[in-house]
Amino acid sequence: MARQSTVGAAAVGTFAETFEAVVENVAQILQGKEDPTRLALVCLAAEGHLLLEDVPGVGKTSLAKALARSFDLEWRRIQFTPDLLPSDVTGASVYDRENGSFVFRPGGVFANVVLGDEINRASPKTQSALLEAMQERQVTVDNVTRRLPSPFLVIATQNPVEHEGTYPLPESQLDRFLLRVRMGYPDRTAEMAMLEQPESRTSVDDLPPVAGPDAIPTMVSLANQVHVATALKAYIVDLATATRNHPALSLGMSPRAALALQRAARALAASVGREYVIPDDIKYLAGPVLEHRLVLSPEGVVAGVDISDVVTEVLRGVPVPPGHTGM
Amino acid sequence: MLTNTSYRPTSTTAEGPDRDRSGRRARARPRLALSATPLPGHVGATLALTALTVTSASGLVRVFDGRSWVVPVLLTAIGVHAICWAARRARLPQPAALALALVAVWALTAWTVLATSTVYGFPGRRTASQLWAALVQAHTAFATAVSPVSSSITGFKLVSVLGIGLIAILADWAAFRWRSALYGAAPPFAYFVAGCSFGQGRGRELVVTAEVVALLAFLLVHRVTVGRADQAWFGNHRAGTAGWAITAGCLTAAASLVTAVAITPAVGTTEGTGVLGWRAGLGGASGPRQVANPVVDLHTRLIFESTTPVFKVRSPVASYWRLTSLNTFTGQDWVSTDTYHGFGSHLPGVQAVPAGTRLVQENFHIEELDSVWLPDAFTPISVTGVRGVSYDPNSNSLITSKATSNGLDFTVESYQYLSTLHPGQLESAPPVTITASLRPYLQLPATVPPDVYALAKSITASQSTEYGKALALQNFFLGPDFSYSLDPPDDGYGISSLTNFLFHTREGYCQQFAGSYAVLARAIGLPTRLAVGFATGTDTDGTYQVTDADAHTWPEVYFGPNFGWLPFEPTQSFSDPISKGYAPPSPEGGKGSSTTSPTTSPTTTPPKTSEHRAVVAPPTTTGNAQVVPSSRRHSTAAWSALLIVLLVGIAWFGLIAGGRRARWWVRRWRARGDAGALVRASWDELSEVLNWWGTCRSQSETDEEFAHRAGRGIALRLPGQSPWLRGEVVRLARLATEAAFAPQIGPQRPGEAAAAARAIHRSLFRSANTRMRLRWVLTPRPGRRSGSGLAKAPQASAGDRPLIPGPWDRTSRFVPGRA
Repeated sequence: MARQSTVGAAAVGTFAETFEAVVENVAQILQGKEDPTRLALVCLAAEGHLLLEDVPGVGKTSLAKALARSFDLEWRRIQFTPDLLPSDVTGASVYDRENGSFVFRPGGVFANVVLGDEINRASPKTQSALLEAMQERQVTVDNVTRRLPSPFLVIATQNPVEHEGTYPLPESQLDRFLLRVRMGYPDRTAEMAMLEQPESRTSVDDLPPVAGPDAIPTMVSLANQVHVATALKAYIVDLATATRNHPALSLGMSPRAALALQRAARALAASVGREYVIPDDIKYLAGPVLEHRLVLSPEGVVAGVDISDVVTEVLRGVPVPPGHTGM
Repeated sequence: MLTNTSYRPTSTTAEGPDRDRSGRRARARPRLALSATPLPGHVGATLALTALTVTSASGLVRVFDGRSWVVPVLLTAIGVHAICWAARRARLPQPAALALALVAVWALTAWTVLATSTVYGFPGRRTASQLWAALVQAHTAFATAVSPVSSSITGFKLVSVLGIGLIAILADWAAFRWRSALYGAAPPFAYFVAGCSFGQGRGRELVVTAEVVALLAFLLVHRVTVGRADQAWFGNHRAGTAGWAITAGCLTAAASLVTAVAITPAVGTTEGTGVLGWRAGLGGASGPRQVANPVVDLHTRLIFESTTPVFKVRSPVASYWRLTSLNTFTGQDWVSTDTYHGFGSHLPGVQAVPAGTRLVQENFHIEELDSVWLPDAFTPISVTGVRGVSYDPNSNSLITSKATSNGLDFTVESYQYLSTLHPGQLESAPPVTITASLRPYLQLPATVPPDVYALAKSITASQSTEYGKALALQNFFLGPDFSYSLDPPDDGYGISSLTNFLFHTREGYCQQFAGSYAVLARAIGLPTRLAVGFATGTDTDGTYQVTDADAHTWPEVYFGPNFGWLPFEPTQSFSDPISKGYAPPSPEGGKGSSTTSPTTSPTTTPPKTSEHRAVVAPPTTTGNAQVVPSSRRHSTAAWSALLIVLLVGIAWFGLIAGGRRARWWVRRWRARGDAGALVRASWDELSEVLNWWGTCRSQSETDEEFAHRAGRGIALRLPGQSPWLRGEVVRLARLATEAAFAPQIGPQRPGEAAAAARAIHRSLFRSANTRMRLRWVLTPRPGRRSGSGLAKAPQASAGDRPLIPGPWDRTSRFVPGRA
């Protein structure tokens, strides 16, 4: 059997240490939100983009900023509004009277970490400008293609409550987000601790970096080398098949989703210092990776099915591989 | 509206609608596939079923004398099974297959039993008429036949052959078209039970053993070749892959128990007493208790067993030892219908002790009476030294609530006239008023011929008193016209035997003498009944040793409330020490009013030949073929049954516990040299243990999820040691996960895993209670079954406190690769 190149335990250990250092760093700003932080980091290590879906005021912006600060990355925020133009996102060539030529002014996406706030408020045209940049990691304006800085992580937010005046993202574009994470309210103790803190606490801007920007490519390449047993690949395919055949779904997992699941699982395994993926990783990530990609069938909508219940049901219906040894 | 196709989120995926093409939909719910397409072939199972049918038919060896039944029965059994098999193979539709099978039964029966009536092998009208004649013959012979019956009686052979043919069809249908092993095994088993209930003792162990072996073999083969793992076994119960073993074991055990405890004692003609020896119901000594014909029990023992000691009596005077009495003459035999009640020490319903009687105490020690009755000396008034005894005041008999009275020691106090009763007293006794309660003792069937009444009148014509009539009857039988013979030309109690005895042969033993006396006495209006019991026995210094050869029956006549029932002795060469005062054994003695003083010196028993054939038991009224008792001891049968149960238990234990060890060992042996497989083997073993502890693995669960869930289950039961145990279980689960999915694992892992599995197993086994331990050693899958296993595992859902810690949970952080 073809054995893929695997990473050593020591290298993965370094990965996990960096990972935990960043999580602890972010925790100074965001109490009780370790798991969303880790998922965001997994997303970063898997070279994916993150869709944060939650109500305002739960720390979405803080998370994006804190992540950028921890890696000493450049950070930008684009507030999406219905009148936002694609050029506001990508940048535009502006006539420079002094030089007598058009000069490119980079838009909001030219940063390592881009926070696309309330992405569903912008017109589809603007949304697709961002989403194209996310996928291609480059921007083409006036026939000139410009690479976006690396690493490049888009953290887009959506408000799930308000629907008035929004343009919901089409499925094909949602598919481009690796993970969708719900921040959720902090639990009681974390919220009380937050209130206890003096106003003069560490602000996001003062957060010291714990790793350099070059740490991210290293993490990405390490995560890509994490071993995935053949049985687990089959498990992912089984899950995909199950979603495609599920009666409550009209759109199941795309092949890109299967790839995304594997990539995210690798990053997760590396994040706990494990050099191989286990079924638990896949099951844990199935919700964040799949929920925003699956589309309920009309029957499912009528029956009031929650998409997370469907994912849980799919996980219960697919046997976990017993694994085979001696690979 | 879409409501008719609406998707319900509560339904599980595995049970979802047909859109799911993932293949697991094939696990359909169990059903008894009555309309399923018959599978062709199943040679192995068909052979096993044929073997079972043949074995069941071999039970006939105990019914028939001779071997001429063997070929027809076996040919039919095998032939019908072969035809059914061929019909299945050819995929014949059910009606056609059934018709073919029935024709085969008819043809085989005709060829094997009524061959001469066929025309070139074709059964025709003559065959049908012969068949009918044979069936009528069987029906008539059935009432009086005693097994082993001659196999030359065509009727019986015919019924056996037809029966086995139909049984074979039914069994084949149930086993292969309905696909139920149980239903398939039932018809041959029923045939076997029927054979057993008519058969007699010889070859019993062999036949039963063969039947059990054939039954189990068939169930096994059927399960392996025909049955499916998820198929209904019995009702809606769902059997797992190894569940059939438990089910089969339980059902066989239940069937054996029912057969041994309920059926055997209930079938009146069998000689067995059942494992527990219950006669009827479970009632103790206090409640009313119905018993079967009382002398059946004696009947089975008496013939041929002349010297077996039955009981010992220590008594100051000699007496007949009475078991019970029979009050109803049916025309065929004498029966009794008694109802027994518990009592204290004094017997209820006993009248005041009459004047002129003496109270006598007898100590009884029962050796091998093998019956529920307790002997006593007539008339008992109290019983001490034994518990659980019931009494019927009508027949003055005592029974124990135990299986038999063997081994009991007790003291009976009874009043006896000894020799104090003078003929004069009896002659002056007032005539008996016939009350409703006495009427049964005068009953005679309408079929008693007038000759008998005439004879009775002529014998007693010169007598005016009841006593005189009773004595005249006794003297009539003691006269020179009658002779005592152990082998009379016409044996039995029936009316034809009676008239034969009275008018022609005049030859018989106590059965004929006493029975005829009672009929004649009733014919002239004397309330009479038949007492059953034993003659005095051999006297050694006041201790009487009674053997089977002393079994005896004699009439008792009622002389009003002053005297009660008084025994008479019409049988030649017998002498009742009690009755000889008022009814001396010699005709001359009765004439004089002998007033011998009461004697305390016991009278010795009349001389008897050792081969005295004192059959006192009348034929029963069940109408079955009558059974000649075997010489085997019931206790032997009970012991061998116990031994078989014990052996089966030990074998089962060895099969389960040893089988599990062997399975584990084989798995490890196969995994030798493969570290990952060895770790997985340890985990699989532990999974079985955890399953035993109530957590069954679901297929959609990862190792660690299962470990956490099992750990929580253990924590609920063993709060004390749970943290260590839970930790170890989760650690082993992670080792197993590592072994399954890591590219390579350290060489020390198998050792670690095996040690952990051993420690957990040991700890859990020590903490288990006895019931759980028994389940572990006695059942192949001691845990609960998870069904399809895909939809039942509880999962941590969003919002709840997660049952399974997430991957970054610090409290459970453990990375096998770096531990």
